[in-house]
Amino acid sequence: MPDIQIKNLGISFNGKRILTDVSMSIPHGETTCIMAPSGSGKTTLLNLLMGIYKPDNGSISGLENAKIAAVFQDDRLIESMDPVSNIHLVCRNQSRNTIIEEMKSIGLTDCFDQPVCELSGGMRRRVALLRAILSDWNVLLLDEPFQGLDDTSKKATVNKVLQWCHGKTVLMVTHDPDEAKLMQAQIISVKQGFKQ
Amino acid sequence: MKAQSLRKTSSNPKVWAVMFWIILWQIASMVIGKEILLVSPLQTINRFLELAITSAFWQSIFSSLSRISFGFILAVLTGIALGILSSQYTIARDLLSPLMLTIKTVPVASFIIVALIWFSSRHLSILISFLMVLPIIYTHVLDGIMGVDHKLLEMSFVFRIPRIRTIAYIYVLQVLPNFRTACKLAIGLCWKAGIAAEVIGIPTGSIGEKLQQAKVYLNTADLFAWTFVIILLSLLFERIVSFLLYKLQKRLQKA
Repeated sequence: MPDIQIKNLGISFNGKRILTDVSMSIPHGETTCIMAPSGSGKTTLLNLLMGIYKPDNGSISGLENAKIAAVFQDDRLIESMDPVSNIHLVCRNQSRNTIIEEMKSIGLTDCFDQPVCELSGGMRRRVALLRAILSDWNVLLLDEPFQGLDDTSKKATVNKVLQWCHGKTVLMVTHDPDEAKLMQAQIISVKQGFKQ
Repeated sequence: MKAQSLRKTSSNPKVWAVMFWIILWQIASMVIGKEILLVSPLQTINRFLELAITSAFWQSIFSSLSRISFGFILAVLTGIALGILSSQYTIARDLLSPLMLTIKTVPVASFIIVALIWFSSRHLSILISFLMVLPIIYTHVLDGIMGVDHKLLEMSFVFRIPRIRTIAYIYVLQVLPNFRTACKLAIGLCWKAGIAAEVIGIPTGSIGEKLQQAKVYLNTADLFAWTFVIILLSLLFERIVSFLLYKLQKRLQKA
């Protein structure tokens, strides 16, 4: 797969400029972290890469045949479903038993039959992460993936993500430098954000 | 959707409250002392048991149940289809909006009289049940589809979840609580209006005919016994539909 090339990408909503002429290259098979302050347009950039938004100008190449998986900023789990079903809905290639084993490995125990609306923020985050990494993907997009996790569960979850992401293209956005370090990522720092 | 919506609601009446009203009814009938005005609960049950051992009783139940449930099922299918259509095309929504509003606001009696002019009285309760249920199902299905979380649809798009699974596990699962509420509302109305149509149309061998005969012969015990039967049928029908939808919801929650 080629590198992901972003060229002069721009988008605005209701006349408000969110991204202006963003250009960068995301190397294939590596973990890259875009570090930018909150409200700088990181999530919008990921939404453009996922194909949820269409850019006003500019282009993205290298994702034409990509199988994308994502961890959204707001989890996007089906509230009335239990965690195993939420993951299995997306990861049909994994058996329910495999999913349960993987859940246990990141400290998600005794919640297999609970609807996700009853889970804590940290547990929901881990379910969303597991759903992404267990799915069939070759490009993984992570939006503040370890937000809301305590140190212990963050460590176990990062290890799990690293184990599944080795040699694959991962793009993570965060404002937390520690998360970027934990993920052993190449850092692209955008201090001014993407608006200018 | 919160987990509370999946649990049994506490809308079921409490036994003590039911007993309170039955006792009050018994006292009222004893105070009035005239069976023709108000039969007691015991007399009602006695008459019900007497009727229940006759074949005509079961034939009447089958006759009314089949017609009213046919009207209900037809309305559910039509309501779902039109709800889906309206959620996809604004023109369909605009076109159907005045029609549904008219069906909702026109008095049942007007529909019954017009239908009696147009059709045979035998099938009147099918049409009336259909008309009572259709706007409720249509509105709830449409609202449910329009209210589906677009963020989940984006998630489905990103993860390339096949269309059929998106429909089942995102659309249907999110619309089902709305749909269950609609069915509960509609079943009560459909029985009330369906039986009213039978009382006016008097199709042979129906519950409506029996109510009409009770009125003509001032047989209050029969009237109360048949009313008791209608309440039982309506509750049973609602419970069965509610149970089936609950099972479907539980099944879809295990993707």
